[in-house]
Amino acid sequence: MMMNWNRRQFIGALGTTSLIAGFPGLVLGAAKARVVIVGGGFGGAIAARYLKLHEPGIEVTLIERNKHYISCPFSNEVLSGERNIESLTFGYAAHAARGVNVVHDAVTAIDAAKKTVMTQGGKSFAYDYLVVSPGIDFDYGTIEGASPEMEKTMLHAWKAGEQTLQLKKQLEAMKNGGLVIITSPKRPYRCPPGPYERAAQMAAYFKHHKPKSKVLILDHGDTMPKQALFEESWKQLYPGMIEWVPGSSGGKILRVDQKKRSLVTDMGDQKADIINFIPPQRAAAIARMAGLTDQSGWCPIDPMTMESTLHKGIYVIGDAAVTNDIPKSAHAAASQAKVVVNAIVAVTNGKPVPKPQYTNACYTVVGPDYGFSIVGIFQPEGGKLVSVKGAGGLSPVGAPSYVRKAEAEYAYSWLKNITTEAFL
Amino acid sequence: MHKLALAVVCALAAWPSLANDTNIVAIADTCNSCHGINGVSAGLTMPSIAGQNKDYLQRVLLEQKKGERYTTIMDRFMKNISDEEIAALAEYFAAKEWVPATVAVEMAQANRGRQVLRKTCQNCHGEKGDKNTGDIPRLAGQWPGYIKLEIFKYVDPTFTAKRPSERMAERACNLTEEDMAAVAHFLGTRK
Ligand SMILES: Cc1cc2nc3c(=O)[nH]c(=O)nc-3n(C[C@H](O)[C@H](O)[C@H](O)COP(=O)(O)OP(=O)(O)OC[C@H]3O[C@@H](n4cnc5c(N)ncnc54)[C@H](O)[C@@H]3O)c2cc1C
Ligand code: HEC
Ligand code: HEC
Repeated sequence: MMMNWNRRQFIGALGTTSLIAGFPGLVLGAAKARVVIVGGGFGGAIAARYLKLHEPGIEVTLIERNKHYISCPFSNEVLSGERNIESLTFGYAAHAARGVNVVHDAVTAIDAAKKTVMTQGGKSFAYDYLVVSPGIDFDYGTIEGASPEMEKTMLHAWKAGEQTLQLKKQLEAMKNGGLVIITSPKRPYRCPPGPYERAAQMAAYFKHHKPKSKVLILDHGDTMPKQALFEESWKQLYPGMIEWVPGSSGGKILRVDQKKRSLVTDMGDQKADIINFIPPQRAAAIARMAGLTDQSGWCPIDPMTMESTLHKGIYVIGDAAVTNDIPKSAHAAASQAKVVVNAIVAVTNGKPVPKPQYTNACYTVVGPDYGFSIVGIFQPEGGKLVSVKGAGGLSPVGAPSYVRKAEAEYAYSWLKNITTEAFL
Repeated sequence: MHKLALAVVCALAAWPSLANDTNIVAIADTCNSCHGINGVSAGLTMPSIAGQNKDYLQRVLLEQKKGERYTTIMDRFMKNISDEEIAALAEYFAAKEWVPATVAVEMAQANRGRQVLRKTCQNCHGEKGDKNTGDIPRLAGQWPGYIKLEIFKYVDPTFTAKRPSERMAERACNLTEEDMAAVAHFLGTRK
């Protein structure tokens, strides 16, 4: 069986020999295996890092559209002024220095049968394994009246970068006593606690600069993650400044009126000085173009390995994948990257593939010295990724200040360590 | 089913072969997003765990798992990890090289910290804070931010949980905040 396979049998079985024929410079056996990674966000960058860490003999090509990556985690602190965006901006030089072939180009097509990836720049890359971690796109089509044009007047800032800075400017320009609306979209979406953390970080800014201002959250759903912790912290830090309207109480967006700059819900027309419209989401365009998505708009995978159930040999990780109980987070993307890497490395080296380890940790910082967290441990069960009962869980409600402060400090260290893992 | 999927099934059938290091590496990899690659932390308040002695690591992880030791988050991670895996993880991280934190020396702080260490800590932690056997973890080269959070557990009145060590409690409880900061700084600058 697999465990007894040696490398040559494995390479032969994958048909690598014929692919290598197209690469005159490549001698068979020069690389133990060729892995191409699409997308250099948390999932893709960490996959590249761990491939080189655990098996330097594997040839790794990382294809990322942008020269710089801006971390969404902690980008809400840019809004409060707690940090600048430079502290969240990373490049790919460390990957190149470790021997990863970093290609800045956009992937335009994937040929699963020929095991080849094509780019806008006209290049093509052959692979033995393809790891796809392209993140999300916005899905404006599901709400009447909504369209990408509305980003001109209603920012999402849900891919950290230019829009984060624009939203910050809008907050600065707003009058004291103004109102901000944040919409929380239909699940699944990237970073489930994100909208509520954002409300807190905006309130942190208002508290010091425009104390009469308010944040209104219009929610598609009826619950929020870490609900008791958010509600407790809002009451303690920002009394009266944040209002949350669940979907069934009129929070759900039924229609967008771009001309009037208003959102229509069961409560009527909602207007505000600033509307931060976080749109519904789906897997990034390349996943759809490559036929990796199903009707849900996301990429179904085999929970044992993260291999696409639609195209063999392609591993979809991170936000783009259907991961059931696992939320769409950077930490979860990292853990999925490691599952795939450890499997590829094991097979390449003729060792047994380890039991997949899926974990998530999500720290939230709602203000200075005030943090809390959720942990999840997951395993494949009945074809799905399911939370392990009795493991994981939330920070306690009613915890003393020592705990909140410590968790805020650990949260920053988490950011430092996971971005080091990904980019440094 | 693709080959990786098949291989996983085989591995599960062969479970539990705990000496099998690929499984331990896979678990250890999940620690790194918080503790740093190979347990070497780059975060100013997260402990490096690479190179701490095996007995200490194993005891701490077991105590966290059983809820016998206060932690903000580790108990929630350890619940699904078996005692055998914990032993293997302790061995895995203990065998990694200790990489000291990078902390710029501030002379006045460091001198004061050195004195605190001599007077109050070195009996147990060694002259340089680098004793690393049995129930004593290495402090020399650990992140000052983490050392401070740990000693705060002994002095902060809002910290009401059980303290990690009664032995430590006797000494650390009387430290002033300045002394704590100084000794943490001094220890952090050691290699
Ligand atoms: C406000 C906010 C706060 C958050 N906070 C946290 C947090 O505290 N903790 C946490 O764990 N997570 C957090 N997240 C979630 C986290 O950002 C995502 O889950 C994570 O980025 C997912 O990683 P990924 O690799 O799947 O996708 P991404 O990080 O989005 O990376 C995808 C990459 O693929 C590239 N790409 C896409 N298509 C192509 C193509 N065709 N060709 C080439 N390149 C392509 C993109 O340019 C991008 O760099 C937060 C998110 C937001 C919005
Ligand atoms: C979500 C972040 C996170 C993850 C993941 C994590 N830890 Fe921790 N760990 C912490 C924090 C924070 C502390 C500091 C003590 C506390 O919990 O308050 C800590 C403390 C420790 C300590 C005590 C260090 C000391 O010097 O006393 C050990 C040992 C440890 N962790 C090992 C592990 C191992 C092994 C794993 C993987 C199985 C792991 N940790 C995964 C956050 C994490
Ligand atoms: C009487 C012996 C003793 C003295 C004196 C002592 N310690 Fe400790 N210390 C311990 C023991 C034992 C532990 C491990 C306890 C545990 O966590 O289970 C420890 C743990 C620690 C830790 C936690 C390390 C980690 O990795 O989690 C820190 C920090 C620390 N000591 C700092 C100090 C400082 C600073 C002093 C002097 C001001 C001091 N200790 C004095 C016995 C002592």
